[in-house]
Amino acid sequence: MSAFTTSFLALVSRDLKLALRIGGGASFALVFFLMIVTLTPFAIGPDLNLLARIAPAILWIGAVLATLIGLDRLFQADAEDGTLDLLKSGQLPLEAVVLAKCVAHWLTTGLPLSLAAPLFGLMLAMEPAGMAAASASLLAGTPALTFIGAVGAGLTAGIRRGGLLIAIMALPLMIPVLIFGVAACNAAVGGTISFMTPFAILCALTLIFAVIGVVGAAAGLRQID
Amino acid sequence: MPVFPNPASLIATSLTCRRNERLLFAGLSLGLKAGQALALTGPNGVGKTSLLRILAGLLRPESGTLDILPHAPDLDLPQRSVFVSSRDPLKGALTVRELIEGWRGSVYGAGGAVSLAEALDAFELGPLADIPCAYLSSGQRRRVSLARLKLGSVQARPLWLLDEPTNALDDRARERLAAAVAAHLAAGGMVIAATHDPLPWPELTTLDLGQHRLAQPSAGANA
Repeated sequence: MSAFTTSFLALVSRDLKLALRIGGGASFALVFFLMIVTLTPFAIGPDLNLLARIAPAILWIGAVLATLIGLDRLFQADAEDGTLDLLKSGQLPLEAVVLAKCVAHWLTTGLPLSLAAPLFGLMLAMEPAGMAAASASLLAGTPALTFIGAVGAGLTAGIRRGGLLIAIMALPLMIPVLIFGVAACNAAVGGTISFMTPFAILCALTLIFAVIGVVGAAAGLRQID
Repeated sequence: MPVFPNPASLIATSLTCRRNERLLFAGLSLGLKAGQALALTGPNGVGKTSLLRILAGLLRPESGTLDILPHAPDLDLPQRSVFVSSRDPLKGALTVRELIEGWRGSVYGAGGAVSLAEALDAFELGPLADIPCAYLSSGQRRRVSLARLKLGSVQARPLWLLDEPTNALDDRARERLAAAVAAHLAAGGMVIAATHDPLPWPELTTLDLGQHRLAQPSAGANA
């Protein structure tokens, strides 16, 4: 294993440890996701057909909002305590540092959300095919949400109370991901287009935002001195 | 890891630094050779930390050039020094061992100068190794911060930049720091420290940044 890979994995595992320990907030996103999904049936009432029809939308809006949790601290904590200076003088390029932190963020946010989606789909009266599609579309789409948020987090890392700014900057950019994510879910349970059409676009969006997010966030972090 | 047959040196010429529209210093030049240490002194706000950050490659000077010799083709300026800022980059949830192991793995590379045990031993952190950083006193936090000096190799990172290194340190820890500095200088390294304390270090010269301050209306009062 090259020195680069070793350093990268060391950074990912450090961030995972920090997220999973007390005060790390790894479980917050999942609990917040659960809250949104649970509130919806109460608000809509016992209309199972309606609930099943809007279930993909609820799951995806929940995932988008839950991803924002923890993003405000993605770089800010490191910028405040001087760890960012240390990472800037390290052997990894800043882009690789950003990628490592995004991977850790997704492993503790997007991945649990995607895996829990079928369970939460039950509460929204989803069909089994819909649950599988929701899980698959979230698995493919949530990395894009993390990368989009990372740009906002990188730009606001030096600002106090930057969390709200991240939401304002990142949410509009998340709209395409939301559209194709929900479209993939809907296509799996009926409709005129095949599941793969929106799903392939969703995968493409994730790849595009992986590049934009990593480069953009690193550029933002370089401005902090 | 590249090998350096030549001794290290630092050459900075006519550095100018402006922070928030305020000119801190202009035309500042300094040079340092292997085995030499420099203490930066001067009143608060004179630009000691800014100068250290410029030398660390973390802050771009408004003008001036900066060079650390011998050149290492695959290393940028931030990778040529170990910068210990006045902030301690500690994570409360990690133990001292995990933190330093993380620095060694992700910042300085596992192939760095010394083993984890040696880095812990340099500032007597052995007994604290398994305590989460949240429970450390400020002097202990400072010692953990300083332990990373041991992680870079003198060839790749010949320059140590220390911002108020003796803050919160007790006498014993100051001796440990002096020993670490002496060992680094003896190995052909260079040390620059911003400080308000007298430092009992070998080969130490002093640069008073207060002397470099430009005549400004607001500066007259405390000059």
